[in-house]
Amino acid sequence: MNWIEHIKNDENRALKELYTMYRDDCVQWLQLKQNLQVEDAKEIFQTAVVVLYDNVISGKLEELNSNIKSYLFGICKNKVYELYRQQKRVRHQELFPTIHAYVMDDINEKEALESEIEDMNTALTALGDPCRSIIQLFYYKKMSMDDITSLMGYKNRDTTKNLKYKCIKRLQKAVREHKVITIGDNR
Amino acid sequence: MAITDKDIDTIDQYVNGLLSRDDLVKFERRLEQEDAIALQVVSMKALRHSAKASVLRDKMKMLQQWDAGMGEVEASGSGQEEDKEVNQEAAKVKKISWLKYAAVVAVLIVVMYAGKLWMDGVELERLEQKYAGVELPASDINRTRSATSTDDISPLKLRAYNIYDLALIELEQGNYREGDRYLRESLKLFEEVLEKEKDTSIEILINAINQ
Repeated sequence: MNWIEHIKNDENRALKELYTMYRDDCVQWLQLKQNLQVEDAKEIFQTAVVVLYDNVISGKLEELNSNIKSYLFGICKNKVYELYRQQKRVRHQELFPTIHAYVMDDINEKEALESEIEDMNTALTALGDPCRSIIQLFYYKKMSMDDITSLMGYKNRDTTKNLKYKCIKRLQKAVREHKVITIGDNR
Repeated sequence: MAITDKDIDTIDQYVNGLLSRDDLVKFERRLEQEDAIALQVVSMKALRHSAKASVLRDKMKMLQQWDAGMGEVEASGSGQEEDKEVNQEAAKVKKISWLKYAAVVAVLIVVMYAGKLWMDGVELERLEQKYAGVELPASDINRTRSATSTDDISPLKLRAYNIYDLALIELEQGNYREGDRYLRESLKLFEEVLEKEKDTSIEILINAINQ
């Protein structure tokens, strides 16, 4: 099976199939070989599946040199080594520390952006749809305005574009308000 | 100066490296001069990363929901298979080890038995060469018994003669091993008798046997 194409065409179904096929093997392996507790092993495996997904969507992974299981196990192995080191670096209580660390590791201007990203993560989580989806589709999946219009069922491209501007402004306003609240709390 | 929708588009293009050379020069001039633009660039860069984090978190949540519906991790994965293989290998090693020890012991027993047989053969040959055709002096006991009362013979001397008689019988029948054993035993007893009784006939007998 061509997993890369499968993920691109039907991502949730592909991820579910991958997860169901390899969860037990990988979690068992992490428990036995890396001495992880079952919950930590599961989170590592879940992170590995998400990293695989991200590599496919971002275009980093265009072709698999090994089979998908070996690729997933390879990610798991690396994530185990990073797990504790990264957990120490997370400044506040993260819901998914491994994902947070993975995203932060990918940033060049880390120091300048870290605080801004953390505030924006909070604001984006609270933003809700359709703004959240539009921002995800445009900024993460790099979909065009026309594709987003079609996917979301909007009237035309301009409607989507205007909605995107409004969403960005709402998000930035929420970040500013969050900063004001945070500064106020610190005083 | 307020950020317009057009500014947002320009910043998107800038962040994605899509501005033309001329537009890039103009934009970088604004970036140096306008704090609002600089802040917006930071915000838009952060937005791209947040969008990614948001999608990946959604996927994590989705996987966790599936996981909750899948039940516990079954102990039938490759880890266990590896364990099973490792255990089987260990059992095989244990079995081989046990068999190896048994085989070594068996070989040692066979070797020792063969060695014993060989030694026995060599010893028998030696005794055969030593006693075959050799005439030992006749036992004096009959003469001693008929000449005097058995009460005159010490129990030690009587025992020595009896054993010597046994040696003569065995050697005559070709049972060299038993004959040799009785002969050596009787010689030992005769020497004790000689030492205790100073009997010259015993001394003569001992010398005759040794010759």
